[in-house]
Amino acid sequence: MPPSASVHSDDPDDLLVDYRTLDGIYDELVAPDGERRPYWRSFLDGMRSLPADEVAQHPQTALRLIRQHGVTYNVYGDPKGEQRPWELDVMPLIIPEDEWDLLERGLKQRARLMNAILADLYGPQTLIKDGVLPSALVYANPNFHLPCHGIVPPYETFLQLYAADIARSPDGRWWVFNDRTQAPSGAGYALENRVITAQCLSDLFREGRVRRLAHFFQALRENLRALSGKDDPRIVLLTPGPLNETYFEHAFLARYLGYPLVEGADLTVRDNRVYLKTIGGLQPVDVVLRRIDTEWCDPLELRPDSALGVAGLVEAARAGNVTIANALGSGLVECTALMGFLPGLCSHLLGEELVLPHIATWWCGQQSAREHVIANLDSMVVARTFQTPTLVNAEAGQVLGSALDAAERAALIERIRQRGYDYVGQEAITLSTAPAWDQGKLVARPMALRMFATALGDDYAVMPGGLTRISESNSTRAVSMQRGSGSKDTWVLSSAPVDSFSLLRPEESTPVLRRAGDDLPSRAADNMYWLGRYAERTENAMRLLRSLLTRLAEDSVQDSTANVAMQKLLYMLAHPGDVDGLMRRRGRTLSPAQIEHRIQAYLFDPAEPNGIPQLVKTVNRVASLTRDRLSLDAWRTLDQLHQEALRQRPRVWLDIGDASAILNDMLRTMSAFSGLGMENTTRTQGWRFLDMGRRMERAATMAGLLRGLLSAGDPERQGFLDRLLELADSFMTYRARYVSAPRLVPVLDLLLVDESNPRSVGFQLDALEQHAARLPRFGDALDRSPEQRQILSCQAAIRLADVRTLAQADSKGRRVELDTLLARVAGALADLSETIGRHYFSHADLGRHTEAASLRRFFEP
Amino acid sequence: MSRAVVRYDVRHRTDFVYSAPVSISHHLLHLTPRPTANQRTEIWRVALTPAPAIRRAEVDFFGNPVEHLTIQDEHTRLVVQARGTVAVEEPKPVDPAATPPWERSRVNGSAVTDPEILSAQPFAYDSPMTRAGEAVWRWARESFTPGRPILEAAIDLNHRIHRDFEYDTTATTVSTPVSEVFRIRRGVCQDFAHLMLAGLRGVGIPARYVSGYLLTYPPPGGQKLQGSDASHAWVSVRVPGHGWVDLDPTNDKLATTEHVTLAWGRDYGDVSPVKGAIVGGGQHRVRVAVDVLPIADDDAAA
Repeated sequence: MPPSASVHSDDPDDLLVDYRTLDGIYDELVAPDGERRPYWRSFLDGMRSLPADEVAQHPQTALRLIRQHGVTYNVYGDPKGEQRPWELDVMPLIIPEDEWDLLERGLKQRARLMNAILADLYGPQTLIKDGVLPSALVYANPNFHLPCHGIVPPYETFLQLYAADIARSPDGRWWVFNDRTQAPSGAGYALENRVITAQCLSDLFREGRVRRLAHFFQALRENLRALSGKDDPRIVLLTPGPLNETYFEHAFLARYLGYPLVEGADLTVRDNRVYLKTIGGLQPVDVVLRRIDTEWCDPLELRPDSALGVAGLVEAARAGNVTIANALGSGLVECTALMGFLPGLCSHLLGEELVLPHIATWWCGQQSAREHVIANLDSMVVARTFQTPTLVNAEAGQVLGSALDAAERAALIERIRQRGYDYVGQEAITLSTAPAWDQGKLVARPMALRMFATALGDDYAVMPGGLTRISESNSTRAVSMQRGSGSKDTWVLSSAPVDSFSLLRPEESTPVLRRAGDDLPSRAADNMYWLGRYAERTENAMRLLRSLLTRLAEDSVQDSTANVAMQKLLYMLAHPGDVDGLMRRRGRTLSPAQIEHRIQAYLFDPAEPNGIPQLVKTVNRVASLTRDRLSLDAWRTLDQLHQEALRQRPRVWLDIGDASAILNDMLRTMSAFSGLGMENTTRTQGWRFLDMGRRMERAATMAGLLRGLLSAGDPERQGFLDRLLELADSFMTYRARYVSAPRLVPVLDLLLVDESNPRSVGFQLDALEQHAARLPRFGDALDRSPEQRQILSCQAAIRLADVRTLAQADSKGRRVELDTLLARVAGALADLSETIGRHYFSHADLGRHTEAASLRRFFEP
Repeated sequence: MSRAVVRYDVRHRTDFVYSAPVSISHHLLHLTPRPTANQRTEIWRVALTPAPAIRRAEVDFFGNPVEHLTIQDEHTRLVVQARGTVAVEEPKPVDPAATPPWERSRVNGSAVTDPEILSAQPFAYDSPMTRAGEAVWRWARESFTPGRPILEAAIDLNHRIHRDFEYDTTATTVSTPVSEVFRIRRGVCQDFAHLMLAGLRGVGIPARYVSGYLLTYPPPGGQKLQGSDASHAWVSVRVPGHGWVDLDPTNDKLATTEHVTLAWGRDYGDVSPVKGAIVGGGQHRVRVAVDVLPIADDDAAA
């Protein structure tokens, strides 16, 4: 499209000097006469007063913050399956107060209207019986779920959250082009956009009288609380899991609102009540804020092949024992074909005129509309009536009539004639444009705005702002996040001073601990525990490799003693429990070149199962499963490590200095993560499981190292003691206590028995014992738990052992007593891990549920 | 003139055996016959072992009796036994040639207020298990030549399924999509019913899925074996002016007094006799035994 207006400006430094609007299209910033719209002026003046180099930095700053906050979205069917960083343009969209008032009124009305339609269609269906609404829009609609018919939610409120996509046409009016009633997404992204934009433009934001978003979320929270009828209800956010398009938002909102983020497998229904499976047993759930579409919510009454839902959920809702927000079945009114009927429905149900217009819509189930669509195909977008576009993919199932060739056109017309109810025609809309950064310049980009409302009392509260999305191209009819488009913060101006209330600050860095912590979901505890184990395993592998690299640099590998030592350490990486066995079976045959090759593989080869890239990947995967429980800093640290590890590729030559530097960097990052775990995490049960995993792994590794390196031969001569002290970061401690070169007895004492050394086996057991004492108890509280017993018996064995006896070798150089003791410790640790798993991760009747919905065929002729 | 009535003693036993203990199971039963135009239930009982902790009976959206239950005792075996007496009257005969042209039964999107047409609307469109695609619609349309009386056309479709598709208990499972059944041309009664529904609805004719039992006969000269009767499924088509007419594509005939109705819905998913979702359980085996025994005609006419 040709540029039509440029901005009147005499100032060559003006940000807008090259800004061009498009012919026949409304621009949010510049009026057709080339003047800036008045309500943008104070913002633009503020921008001009900022140093140019600072302004130029904004996009980079935003990008950095997005990375740090870990704001991502996923694309279904993406072969790479990677999370994509959220795209944010720091130039906000500004909406003046008077315009907003109309939008707000319109959105509230629309939310009330949608709610009233749902209440009728899932109840008496008078709209159908009286002929106000064709029944096909209900019965042909896959989002009409029969099992939900007759369920009346509290206060007859089906929609706790409602969203609408709006766009501005060339005449300056706002039009609705999508309704979102199933489980609207985007409110969390809108909030993240605000947080980041307000950081980039802090002065302008503070001085700009921009309405704050926090009240909206407070209203949402208050509303859900009120629905439960309790002062302190248990509310959970139900997510399909990390592969969902908008999982980031689920985790973010859960943390922001202070609700546990749960998956279907975390919940169970007993006595027609919903329970959260936690480490402390089953905890009743009052409200489920769901981000799972209705059809997947209950394998018994809805889709039988769903592994995301909770069996019995529909019946629990029917019994009134749980409130589900939005009510099950509420996706019914998302259908665009409904739009054509809204003016009539609005006057019929509410006795009001529709405030906000929607784009012209013709549902082909009606003959006159069908003929109109066929006759005007070139100016239409034709969509399947019952397909719903998503936040990320906005164009699912749509075709532009003018883009069809003759054969396609004839085929489409035939289909519309045969199954008219399956098609809907909509006027092809043109979006307005708003200023966006493109390579240091502001350019006009097509945009659309998603607005949000939450039920409050018998009305709705509207988020004063929203998610503005911009498109890269001008031809796009709707904006989708999938095609490299971006988003913006939305600033709604206020004539009155705004208060800066925020829910965010107190809750940003640590999970909200509302009860004693025993309501930690079992699955989350499981993930935290394994995160601890894998993080420690990774750190240990890094230390081992670093030690090997040092050795490679220092020693001549031709020396057979050194060679054996290197091999032992290498085997330690893959099979810490069976080093001597491997040595015997495989012989001491690795050549120096082979050793170097192995080290290289462990360091850089993404295909090496025990290598650093794989370990880091695993840590990242487990962390992402429990992301809502990690502090932002902890998450960022792991993400940074992941990026670092992903960058590495096997080299032609192993440069020891280079490799050591990389390892040192990674180790520092790992230590930062551990440090954050110690210093920045509240002592919730989640933290406890993380730390138990870490202690368990560290104890097992240390026991394995001691056994592998010390249970036979002459470790003093082989130099193993130095290695061990280095691996255990205990050189300094040793030096401080003993003047001599490392000797077996004091080293054993320091690394096995000494409970004051944070790397010793004894220290780990002591820590585990203290954790075990604080875990929820199932039996008699006076008795020691099975975990405590297992730990105590292991501790006693070590405490009672005489280090001097352990150090004595028999005539063949074997230390049988040491070997036996360490084998016993290893076995006890494995048993303990299993006991914890049985008790807290899969305890009594918490097995994963197996779908057997349609158990088998029952029919024979 | 009164039509023939047959009374049956019906027994329907379902055994689930699990390889690992089930800690909790939720079930939905469509195991009690609904009243129909030509059938009434004299007595009916459903018994469960182990006994459910929660059991609630209601009538579903389509008027079928349904039971919701939860078993909370750990178990490795579940037995569901239904037993009772029903009386089936011979369906009112309809002359296919005298039924209205099929186009008159077609749904169109416009709002309707006639209660009879309205009540057929839930059965007029694709439901989860009858979504098929254009190939099935085209195939079905061959029976629906312009102006053809609707029942004649439906009987023709019924006949074509019987003629062109092979009954094969091994070719499909309970979740085989209709399009696959159409491709491989084989299946069981449930598949044929879904296929016929997909075709009818593709043409625009409201039709419902009927779950029930079929009386079977012993082999000539042989004795009828206990438990040899079976659950069955067929299709009911709305014929303007005549209500609903039941057709059995598996056996190429109209329903008779040998068809005992349990429930109807849009497809199997709405009315499956025993639905369940369990926690635990491992592998499971299911055994179904059905007996439909005619009761000697002493007092049936009363």
